[in-house]
Amino acid sequence: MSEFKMFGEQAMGLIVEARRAAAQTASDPSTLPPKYSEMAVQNVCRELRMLDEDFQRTLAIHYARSDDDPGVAPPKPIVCAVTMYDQAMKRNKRILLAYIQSRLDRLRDLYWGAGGALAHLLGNAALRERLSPHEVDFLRQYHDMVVVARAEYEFGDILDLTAGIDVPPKELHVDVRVLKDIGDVHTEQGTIDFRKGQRFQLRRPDIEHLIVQGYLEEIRH
Amino acid sequence: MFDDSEDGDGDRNIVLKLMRLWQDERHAPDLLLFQGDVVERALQLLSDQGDLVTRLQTREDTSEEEHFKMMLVRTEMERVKFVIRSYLRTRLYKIERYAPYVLSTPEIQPRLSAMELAHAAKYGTLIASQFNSAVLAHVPESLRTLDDDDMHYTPAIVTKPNLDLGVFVHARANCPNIRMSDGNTVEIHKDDLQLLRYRSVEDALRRGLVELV
Repeated sequence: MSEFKMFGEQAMGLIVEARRAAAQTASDPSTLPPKYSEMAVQNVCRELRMLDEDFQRTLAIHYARSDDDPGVAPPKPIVCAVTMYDQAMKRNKRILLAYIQSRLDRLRDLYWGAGGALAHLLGNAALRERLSPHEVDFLRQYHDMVVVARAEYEFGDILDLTAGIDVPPKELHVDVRVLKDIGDVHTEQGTIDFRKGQRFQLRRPDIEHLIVQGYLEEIRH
Repeated sequence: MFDDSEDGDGDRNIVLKLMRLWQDERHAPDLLLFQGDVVERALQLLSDQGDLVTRLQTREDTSEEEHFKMMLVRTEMERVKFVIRSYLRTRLYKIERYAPYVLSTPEIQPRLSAMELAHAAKYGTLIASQFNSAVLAHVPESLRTLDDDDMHYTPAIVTKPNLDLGVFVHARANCPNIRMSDGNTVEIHKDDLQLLRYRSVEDALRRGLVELV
């Protein structure tokens, strides 16, 4: 296999992908993560198994030769080869874990950015197609954990742990424009039937989640 | 801040304490001691204040001026809630980031609330199961561990808080014994502002002698 890449070369592609995604997110926080690179991950896993075979084979050669005296130190070429295989495997493994972790971290940010609205997040088809089945699973289980934490601090509906923490509230009320039809929402001013294009002045805590989920847009003066 | 005419300094102190907890937690690389009683008291105050405002707002003899004042009170309440939320979320962020470290380091665990510790355990399990199903199940068995130590050119898998991180420190009292990384001891005076390694001021911070800014 002449074009088959070895010793971490394939894994490097995953690192580049993760770094590029991080840079894009830094310049535009609304960037979605790239599609999960299932093929690349599988290829690196395969490389790992091949490296392990080479590793075991090299060791076996040494043990076969040193049958009479198992205590003898392996000759240098064997030590070098074994070390190289070992390092390549560890490197590949760590790159895979880092790749997975970088994506989970990003998903967690998206989750909190959406105010913990799991259905809203998973309903986003563009995001959904970029995730692996494991990652969708992760979001679901993470959501369950956050629901527990949120209930712990709710204190009779006083605190919503998942509301925004980016900008401290300066005013109680906020001017909003309705971007998508929502229907009836209970607010302190009574039930409001939100229709696209309408404008309202409302208490921020009542509708903050609707801003986060993109139904309402804050009008800044 | 809060209406301090009735309960006076007590309420005000809780909010000030909360602000300091929040700032310290935001600036410290490590997890600090969870101050559940402060959070709980602040939430209790918010709850009482909320009831009071609702009562006053529905009364007919409440004057225009009082309505205006209540708007300010409620805005301030939202701001206090913001601080509590940010405090709790900062802790959750660190707990998740260092979950494997927290779980394998019993000395740290008393700093967490029962809920936080349970959260760390669940998150650690969740991450490990992700690693397993996406990667580790498909690689040779010898590579499936998740606690590899720092050896042979590969850093340790378990991430620890970086205690050598620089932090800005404001001295709330004289601190005669700040141990620097080179082993020397320096004194910082009340109201001094210094940039020091977190490790050097960890103890003074715990004793409330300094605050992070």
